[in-house]
Amino acid sequence: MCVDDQILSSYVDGELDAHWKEKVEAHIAQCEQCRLRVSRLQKLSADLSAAEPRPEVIDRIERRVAARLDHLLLPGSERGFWNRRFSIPAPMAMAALLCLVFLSGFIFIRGITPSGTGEVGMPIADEKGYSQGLETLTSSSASSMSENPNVQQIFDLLENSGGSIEVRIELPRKSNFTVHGEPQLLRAADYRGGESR
Amino acid sequence: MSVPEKGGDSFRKFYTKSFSTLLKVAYHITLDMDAAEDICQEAFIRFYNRPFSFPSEDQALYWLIRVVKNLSFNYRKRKVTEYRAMDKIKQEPERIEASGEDLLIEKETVRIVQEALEQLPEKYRSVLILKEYAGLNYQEIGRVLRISEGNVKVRVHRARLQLETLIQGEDVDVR
Repeated sequence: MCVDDQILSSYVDGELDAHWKEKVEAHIAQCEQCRLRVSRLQKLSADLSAAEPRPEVIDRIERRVAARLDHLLLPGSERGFWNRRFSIPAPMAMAALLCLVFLSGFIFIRGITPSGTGEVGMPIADEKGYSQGLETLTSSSASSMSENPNVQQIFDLLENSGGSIEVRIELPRKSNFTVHGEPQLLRAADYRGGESR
Repeated sequence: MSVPEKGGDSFRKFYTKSFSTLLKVAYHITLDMDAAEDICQEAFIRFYNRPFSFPSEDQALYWLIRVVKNLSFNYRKRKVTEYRAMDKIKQEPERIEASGEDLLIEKETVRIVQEALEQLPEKYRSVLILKEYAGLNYQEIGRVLRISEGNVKVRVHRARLQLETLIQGEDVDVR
């Protein structure tokens, strides 16, 4: 009676324990059919081994992968800060972008809005120069003048003093004229070359 | 045996020791050396970045082989699907160039064996590749595939029977 084929397969793989191995070998020694079957199984393993990649090919690939792994798996500190990758969640990135747009828009609008209360389109002296002139006027007058005299108050003061008062109005020493807004009277003449209506 | 730690000599030694086995497993499943190379690299990256440790170097190797096997079969399935979509079911796999005087016979044998191996069901193909190319015994194969040793024995035998049938269908003498 021949040995089971599965046992022969295990025998070829060296997976039988010593007791079974001896029995199989004793049987094979006198059974031509089982001996042939064992040699066929061994040939099959040899054919499979023939399909193995050559050692030099494996060595070359091993070195190549090792070099890439060395580069990829180095600790972050050795790779340098600027080579690190950061990931920002999309909602956070979107919120940051919106904040940036809002902030820059706000700064831009503040930059073009007139800060003073002067009339639009008229060049005016800056407030500093204007107040310096008034200070000169008020310093030479009586203390009855309010801090911010208007024209009528000036006339009253002149009248009461009988014209003996010396009035000196100084223009600002440094005139910093700035233009605020668009000129109101800036329009090109609409000349139509004698065209009659 | 020491457990390979991240970085240092133990990792390097483990890499050198296990790379050949992993590459053979990947190659015989994918039949594409470039893909096998990429898969091995990916497996080692996963191994390096794993959030757990192994009780022994053997366990680490079984884990790596399992990762390579799964990645390789996934690759193969994806490629087969692509080829089917292109109406090219029969793919000519990339071959390793052989050299020597018996070049022609060896190339033909390799082609036939690879094509027969490719036609085996995954569960038979896995055990045969791990047996013949990774050099694992039945117990080790069982640990990699998480099946019993008896189951491995049955699968290896059935795989060989099917492989013989397929090779004989190619009219190749395997006596």
